[in-house]
Amino acid sequence: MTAYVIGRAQALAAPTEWGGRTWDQDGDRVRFEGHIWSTDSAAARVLRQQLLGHEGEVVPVTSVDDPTVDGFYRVLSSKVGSSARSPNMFPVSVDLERVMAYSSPQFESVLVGNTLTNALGITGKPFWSVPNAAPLTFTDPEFGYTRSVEHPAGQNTTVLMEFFTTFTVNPRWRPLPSQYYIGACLVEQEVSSGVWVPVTGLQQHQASGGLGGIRINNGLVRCRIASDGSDLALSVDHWKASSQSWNNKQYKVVSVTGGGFTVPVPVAVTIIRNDPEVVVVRSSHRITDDPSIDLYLSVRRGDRWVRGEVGGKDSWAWAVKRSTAEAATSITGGLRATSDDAGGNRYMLASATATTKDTTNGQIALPSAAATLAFGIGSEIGGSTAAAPDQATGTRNMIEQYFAAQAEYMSAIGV
Amino acid sequence: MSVNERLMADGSWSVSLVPEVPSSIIAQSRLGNAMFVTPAELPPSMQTLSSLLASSRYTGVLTEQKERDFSGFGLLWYLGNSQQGAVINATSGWQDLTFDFRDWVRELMDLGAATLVVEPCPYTEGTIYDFDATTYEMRISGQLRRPFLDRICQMYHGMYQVRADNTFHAGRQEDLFASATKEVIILPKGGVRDISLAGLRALEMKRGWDVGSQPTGWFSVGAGEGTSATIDYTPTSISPYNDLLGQDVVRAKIVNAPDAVNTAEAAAVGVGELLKDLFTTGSLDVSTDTHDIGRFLTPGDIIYVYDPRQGLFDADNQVRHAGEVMFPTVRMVQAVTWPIEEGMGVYIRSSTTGAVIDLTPYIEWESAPVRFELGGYRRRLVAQVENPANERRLR
Repeated sequence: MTAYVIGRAQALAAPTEWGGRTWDQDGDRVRFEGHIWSTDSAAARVLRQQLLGHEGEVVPVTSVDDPTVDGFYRVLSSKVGSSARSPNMFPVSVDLERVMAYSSPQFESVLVGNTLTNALGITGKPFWSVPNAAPLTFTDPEFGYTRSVEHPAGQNTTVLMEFFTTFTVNPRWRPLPSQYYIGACLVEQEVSSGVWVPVTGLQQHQASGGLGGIRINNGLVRCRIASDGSDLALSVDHWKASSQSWNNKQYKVVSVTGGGFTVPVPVAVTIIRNDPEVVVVRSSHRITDDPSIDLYLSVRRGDRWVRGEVGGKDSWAWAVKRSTAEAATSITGGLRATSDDAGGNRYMLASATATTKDTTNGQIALPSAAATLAFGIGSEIGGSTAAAPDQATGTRNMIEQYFAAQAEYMSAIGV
Repeated sequence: MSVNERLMADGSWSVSLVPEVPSSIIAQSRLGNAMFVTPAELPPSMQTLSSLLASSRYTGVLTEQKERDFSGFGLLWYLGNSQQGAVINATSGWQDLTFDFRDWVRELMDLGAATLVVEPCPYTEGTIYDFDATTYEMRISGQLRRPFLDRICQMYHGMYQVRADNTFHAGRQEDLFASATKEVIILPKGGVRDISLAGLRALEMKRGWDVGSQPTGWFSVGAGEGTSATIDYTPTSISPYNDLLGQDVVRAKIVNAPDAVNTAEAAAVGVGELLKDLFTTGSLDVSTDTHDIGRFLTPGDIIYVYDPRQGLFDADNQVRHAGEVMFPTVRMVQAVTWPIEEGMGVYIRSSTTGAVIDLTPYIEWESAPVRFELGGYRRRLVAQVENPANERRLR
């Protein structure tokens, strides 16, 4: 029952539901009370995690009971108790506060950044994305830049992709509650085979075996921290709108120093940042020679790149490669598959660091040992017939997008 | 209850004792005694001067008592200030001397060099870095040691520090303190420790500007008298502002440099004074709940601070931290205030008998956030002691 949706927190499907719910309002302050009930205690616990994780955030709230309350609220506190009567029941008390112009407030993104430092002569192409359906509340001359617009389509979404000529801009938009999460980044956890649920906030229990189930997703690309035997496998899907399907490729992170090693499956996964505009997760690995290997993975709203960084206690000649050999062609800033794959796409790897490229197998590697390797995993959707902004080279291409190092922080700013 | 450490300044500390403290403890805690804060309580066998110096996180001087409240200053208090302190005298009358940075510092501090007549150094010699062989000719005519030392540091863009083990060090920022690339980044959220940087989460960040008293240049008056006085007038070394007629705003600062023999020295002191008051980068007060901050930060360290929503970013400074590319500003820690927390050790050592008094069982412990005052990187030349108004100008 989706009687109330508070941010990402909504009852999965019957038999999970909100019971005994009340909505008490005093001016802009609201106390929502009720209980989560389910025949499946795991499903009820998912809802508990989602409610608790939103504390402190501004989230959209919608109600089937009373649509006049639909809007954006700051979650002041979120309490989920337990019941002696049933392990499947959690009493809930959530304090909310309406933000100014709650039904459609303005959000502002503070964007700062620069071209990733590189010796390749590449200039980054800064961009910003929101759902295509939401109204923007700024004009070009206001910020003194010219823009160009693309509309990449993801799963269940079309996002607006604004390309700017400058990195430091503060664009604004005014979404409806139903639009806020379209194309937004999220961290997902697999609760049962093939069933993925959003994880809110940063506090997350380890899934069975320390992984199995963490994925970052923005509707255009998603990356799962997966395994291939005892090796870590990054399972990356890119959405192809023309076929309405996810296109999967797997990658491994290795060191090519001496005998080399492959980064094994992680011991633990930690959520570092979990906002609609950016999510970052960290997986922690250990091998005998280096007990502290960290791999950071992030996606940004509207981005088709999974951006990663791997490092350890010691220096290694880090590399990222396709799990199974697939021939590639070197391009400035990375490499791209030589031929279209079965889905009609060509995978891409990028790095701002000068790398040694293995075009036979599809690998970029540091030429010598260093503390870290920052890399991108992308895809030229449409392959040899790709157009902007999907293409690997040419106007507003994927490499230029990767080389735009942008920090984005979004907040509600009222009317 | 807390310790305030301040770059090249006395700082302060205070503790309150519980009502149950024996009167004998209070009677023994005489003014002028040294005070030590150690990261953990020391066993009685280690409550000796050498052990206290070796393990002390902070060492100060007890100068004030009100009932059970004790307070005082840091070890730099021994060095005097612009009003009081050891006087630097020439062997006879006045004397013009020429040294480089290291030799000037060693002369003034009586560390192995003996040209000047000066009181003994209150500290053990640490490392005095010989980073600049440029020599300046200065006039010795009975100045106070502390302001003279500050002027030398201003001219050479140098710094000095007395550590908790009572050693005196002088050199450049990079010689004495940590640089930004090493350790710490302060963020509005998070607090991720990654391989190269420790992220500290800011509970509060207050940013401010005050350019009301910012000089644009200097009028530096050196040695000599009347028409023969050494003078360097540079009205607009920097001029970030225009008046309503579009002209440069001129607010030159009168700088008293009695020891500057030539215009070169007078100008060097002027530059130092200008940078001391350069507020255009603004101040920043930050608090954090990170425990035992001394592990990470000491005044003089250069750190990263990042909060784009407050405009705290530098797009030309790319740093990877916690899986993202960040663009932090580079700031110098001017002061740190940290609580004396339960689990630490607090000791007083008698300046006359050398007896060590263990105050640890009687401390009213405090738990409070750590506060930082951060300045702009270019303010690293700051000497916190004022240029003395009453210092006599000779000849």
